[in-house]
Amino acid sequence: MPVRGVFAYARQSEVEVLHVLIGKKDQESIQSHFQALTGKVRMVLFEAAMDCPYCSQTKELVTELADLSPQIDVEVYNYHTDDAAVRKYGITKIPAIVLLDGNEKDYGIRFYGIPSGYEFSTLIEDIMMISTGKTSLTEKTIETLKSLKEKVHLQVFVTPT
Amino acid sequence: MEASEFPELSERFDVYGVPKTVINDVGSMEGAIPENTFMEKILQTIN
Repeated sequence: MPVRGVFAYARQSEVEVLHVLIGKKDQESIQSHFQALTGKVRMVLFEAAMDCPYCSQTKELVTELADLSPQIDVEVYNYHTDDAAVRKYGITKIPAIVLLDGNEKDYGIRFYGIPSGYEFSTLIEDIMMISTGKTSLTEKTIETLKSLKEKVHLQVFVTPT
Repeated sequence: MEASEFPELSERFDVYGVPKTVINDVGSMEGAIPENTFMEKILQTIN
């Protein structure tokens, strides 16, 4: 029976955690943004040791990010062995980050590839959005979205800057 | 989608400039798009 590879990472309180990817200034800036977090957010990461050059950096990045707020935690699954989780979230490429709220609700948000450069800000914004339930969309857009009957799959291609 | 990490997909959707948004594997938009235009394009693609 496959073992569920859960690596739940709660906030380190007293212990000084060495952050290798997020610098001190950025940590402070992000932490102050995260003061506004009201609900919990879970980052579910899918990774593997083989054939994934950016997996270990992505894991380091999300772990450091989660460390900046008690509202955020990380669950890590192996793409090759954690079949149930891979199926549940429909993961086909790695690294992949799924964002869930405090009720483990899946909003269909997937980050494929390491969220570096500008995408790091996007990740932070999405965390804020899921946590607070607030978006910057207009009323008109929200109404239109609510009226949609069909599934819409958006893939946004970006590059690290 | 980090384009350089997934070259097969980038090729499949002819991604040369980013950001490029692909809708339901058929529609696409390039660049930063204003919200209303974005919604219009989505509606056009699915109808």
